[in-house]
Amino acid sequence: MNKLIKGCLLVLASFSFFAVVGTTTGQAASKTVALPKSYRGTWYLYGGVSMDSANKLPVFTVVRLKLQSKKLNLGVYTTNTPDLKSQAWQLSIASPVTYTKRIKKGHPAVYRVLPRSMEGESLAILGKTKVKVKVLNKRVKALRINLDGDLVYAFRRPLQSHAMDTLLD
Amino acid sequence: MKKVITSLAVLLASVSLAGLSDTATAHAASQPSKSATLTKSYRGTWYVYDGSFKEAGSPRLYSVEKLQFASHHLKVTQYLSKNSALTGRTERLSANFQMRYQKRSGGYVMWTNKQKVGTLKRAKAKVHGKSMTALKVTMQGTKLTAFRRAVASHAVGFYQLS
Repeated sequence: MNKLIKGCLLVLASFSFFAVVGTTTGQAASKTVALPKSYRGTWYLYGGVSMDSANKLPVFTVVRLKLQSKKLNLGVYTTNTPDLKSQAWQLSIASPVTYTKRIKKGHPAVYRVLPRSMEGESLAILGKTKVKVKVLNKRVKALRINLDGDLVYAFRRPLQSHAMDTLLD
Repeated sequence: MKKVITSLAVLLASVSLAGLSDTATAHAASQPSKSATLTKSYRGTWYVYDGSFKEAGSPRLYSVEKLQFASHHLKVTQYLSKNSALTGRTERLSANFQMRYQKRSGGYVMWTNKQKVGTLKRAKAKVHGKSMTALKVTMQGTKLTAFRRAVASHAVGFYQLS
């Protein structure tokens, strides 16, 4: 989980020393679009579980991703119960963002998230999909987030499924 | 933002998540042995000047970070401005962290997840010849000087992340 936070922070915090203000960078600039309603709002990513050595309790991490028309909000929460309720806030990261749409022939539309601090480069590609969730034993609507090749999945409610930490080792 | 947020990023990467324990006492758990509340003269908004940069064809940009110290957290926001007076800022990124404070030798020690993050101490610093109240902050080894107003002085520089 730490790796994910570090990754997010480093990604969001890094911008070229020679920044371009308000204009577009190298590649053909796609027009900014409004993120559709079905993408907007709160999504939950499961961060995995670790053991708290102090009082032998498991620590579940949940990341709340809030996609808004002009802003992106990432909140990291922890809880001791597998139902992922009673979350305690740990930290938040917020960034003004713009979205662009990408349509590839034969594929459903996907959206790129461009944080203002990344100078026209995209943080992630968002797409809608359905994935099988073991704890519910059924397929659930999910947001597929492509972080430079790494895929993470977010759900409309906190689910103990598709943990992110396994990707980062 | 770069300096403050990046050092916080490095910090978080090294913090074991196990340090964030039982939700009911999540706040208590990340406290040092005796946590104190920041006095009015320390808490609230301070500004750290990063520096400026210029690329051919675009105007010179000035980067400033706003640090908001509160009883249980620290919020850092980075802004860019087109002038050295640092007015008309546009927000770029913000990060909000749990923070606890401990009184120590005339200032405070900052703690996050049971780990010492840095220190705070009020001081005076000269800006354009005039003495101003300042806050000397050390964050993960990095020394910063913050002021109550956004001033283009005491630049801390940028992190070049490879």
